[in-house]
Amino acid sequence: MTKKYALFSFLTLLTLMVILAGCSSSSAEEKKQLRIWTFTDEANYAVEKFQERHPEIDVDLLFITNDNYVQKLISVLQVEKNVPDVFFVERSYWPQIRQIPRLENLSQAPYNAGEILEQQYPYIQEEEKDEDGVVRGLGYQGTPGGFFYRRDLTQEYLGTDDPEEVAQHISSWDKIMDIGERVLEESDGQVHALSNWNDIGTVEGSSIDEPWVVDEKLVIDPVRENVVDLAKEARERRVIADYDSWGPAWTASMQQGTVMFYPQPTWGLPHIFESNAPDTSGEWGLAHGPKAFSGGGTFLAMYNGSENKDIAWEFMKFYTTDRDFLKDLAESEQYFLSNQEINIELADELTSDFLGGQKYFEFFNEAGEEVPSAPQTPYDNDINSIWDEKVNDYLNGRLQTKEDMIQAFKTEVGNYFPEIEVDE
Amino acid sequence: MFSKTLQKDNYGYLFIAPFFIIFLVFGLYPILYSFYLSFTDWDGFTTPASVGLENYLRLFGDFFFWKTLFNTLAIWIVSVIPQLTVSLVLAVVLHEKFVKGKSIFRAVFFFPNIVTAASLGLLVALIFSWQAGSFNQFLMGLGIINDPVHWTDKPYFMRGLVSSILFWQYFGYSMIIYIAGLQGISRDLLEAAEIDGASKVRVFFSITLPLLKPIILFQVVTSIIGGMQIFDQPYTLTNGSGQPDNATLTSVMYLYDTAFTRYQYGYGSAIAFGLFIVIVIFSILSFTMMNMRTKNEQN
Repeated sequence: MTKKYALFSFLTLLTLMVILAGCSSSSAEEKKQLRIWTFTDEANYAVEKFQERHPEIDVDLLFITNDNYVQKLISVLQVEKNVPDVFFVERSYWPQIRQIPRLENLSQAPYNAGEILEQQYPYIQEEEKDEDGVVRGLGYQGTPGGFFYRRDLTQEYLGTDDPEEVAQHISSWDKIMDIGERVLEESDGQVHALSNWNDIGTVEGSSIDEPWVVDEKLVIDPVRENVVDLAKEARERRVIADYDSWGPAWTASMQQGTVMFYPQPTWGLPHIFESNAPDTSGEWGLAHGPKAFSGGGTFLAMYNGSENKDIAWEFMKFYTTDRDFLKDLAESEQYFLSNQEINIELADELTSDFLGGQKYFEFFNEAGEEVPSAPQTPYDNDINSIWDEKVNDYLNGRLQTKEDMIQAFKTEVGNYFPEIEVDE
Repeated sequence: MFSKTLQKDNYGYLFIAPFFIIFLVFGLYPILYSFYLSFTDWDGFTTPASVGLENYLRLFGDFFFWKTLFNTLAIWIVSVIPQLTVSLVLAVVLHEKFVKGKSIFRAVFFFPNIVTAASLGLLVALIFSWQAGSFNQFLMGLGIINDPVHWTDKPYFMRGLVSSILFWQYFGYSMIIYIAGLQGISRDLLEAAEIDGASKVRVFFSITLPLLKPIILFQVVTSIIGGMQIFDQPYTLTNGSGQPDNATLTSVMYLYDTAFTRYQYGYGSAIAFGLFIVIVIFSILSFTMMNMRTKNEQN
């Protein structure tokens, strides 16, 4: 009897302990964990706000530097171990990532991402879909571009700093080249119109009709060839300063005022100009250039094997459609959104002191509507860098003619990607 | 008291087991697996599809593979010859009795080896940057040049720059190995030569050098193996591009790009084994050359 009693009391105690232990940690156990990978510190702000809204969700945010982010991401997607529920992807790698068969189909229920896409700019909608038209990710950032210019320089050399009037002066490459030549002469070789040939490439790149690869065949869009001619002309007429993008001379030029125009997308304002030339606040303006263009952007995608698809989608929806959060993000972080509706609401009130009080949301809204949808392929990132290298070789004279350049380009592409048909 | 028979328990295997287990898992298995992959076409998402010898045939006719091999060899030879000679001279000098503060010199010469290769590449890239590099600013300050020179656009110069980084980084390391070798040479021989009235130069060529031969062979073989795998320095120096004109694209960079940016694992593995064969050939060549010379001398 005593034995039985002892056993009974032991079991009771054990049960009690389990229940109590369960109680004390129940909140932790119930809290769902959302795993996110990112390469940009922008994520911190969003995650913070998301957790304020959803205290019941525990977000595990892993930051990996951009240098090897994609390699790491692709590796975990290949082996399907430790895959994050949601991951950020930069636009240059996005065409490659969105074709990977491990990304959740967001077009279908319960997501019906098509409804979200309707609120966004047309060019972003195109990028969010894979080759079969299925939505594979959501862009939270709007990235239309404009020509950032130093007001003091345009005042001195063009006689105006008004964005509308400046836009008239730079409405074609011919006009920009003429300005460049004149400014160089008047400034004794100190001031250039553009920083490097990639400025031309960035603007024109949005206007291509055909991607690099069509039906497994290499295609060189005439727009790209035209960029080479423009770049050559700009180099010969010394319109470009030849500062490497993101190099020390390039960043210094913003502060020094040795370059008049920088075609850059929305995020250039905080990430390029304000950070590199803080002392020149108020001396900048923003004007439309020869063509509408976009640059960069970030997409959120979901792992299709995730066990937390509900909260993963909650986060993605929050980052792309939540009005309160997005307004907050736009106002406090100067963040231009992919959500056109909210940008339009804010267009009237948001001005930038750095841009001399210009209504930049209004400006980018106009630009965003005009941005054409440039078709992309998974090969883009690799082929773009081969193309850029060859253009550099041509501009620097190592490849004598444009024909040589194109030949060298074709040879290299054909060699690296035997599956692509290249007509020699 | 003492057992007359030798203890032959198998405990010893237990102690050496960790190395072999780690080697099997992280060394041998990946080697065998990539050998298997070299006969397949695989992007990491699908199952590897067997393609037979196709990757090797592609490798054989791949202009860029041969070019990267040439780049690697050119970079390696330009760095290794001064590296092995300068370090030998330094080692012999620092081995002399009359030199004061030897250990300080040894440590100072070894310092570059401690610096991470990647940070060296970045540092040099900044120094030789076109518009804002300190080297151009220095030359312009001295009035030697008027416009900044586009150093990073000169294939031969950039190859030489990679060689210089390698030389600077490894001469101290080679020197330490030589000093270890020199310490193994009996003082008796050197003293006997001295008593016979041999000059320092004569002692060096007739005693030190022949006795250092195994050390030199070791240095040559390890530097072939290391030199064929040059990666970090050119990668960080050129931001991964291997430019200008693919002149600084080494074989391992080519392998890396193929397998981990273009995701052609099969072909990447074939490049790895192609490189392996090249290293084996060069190692055998250096062994036989050394042995031939020894035999000739014995005859």
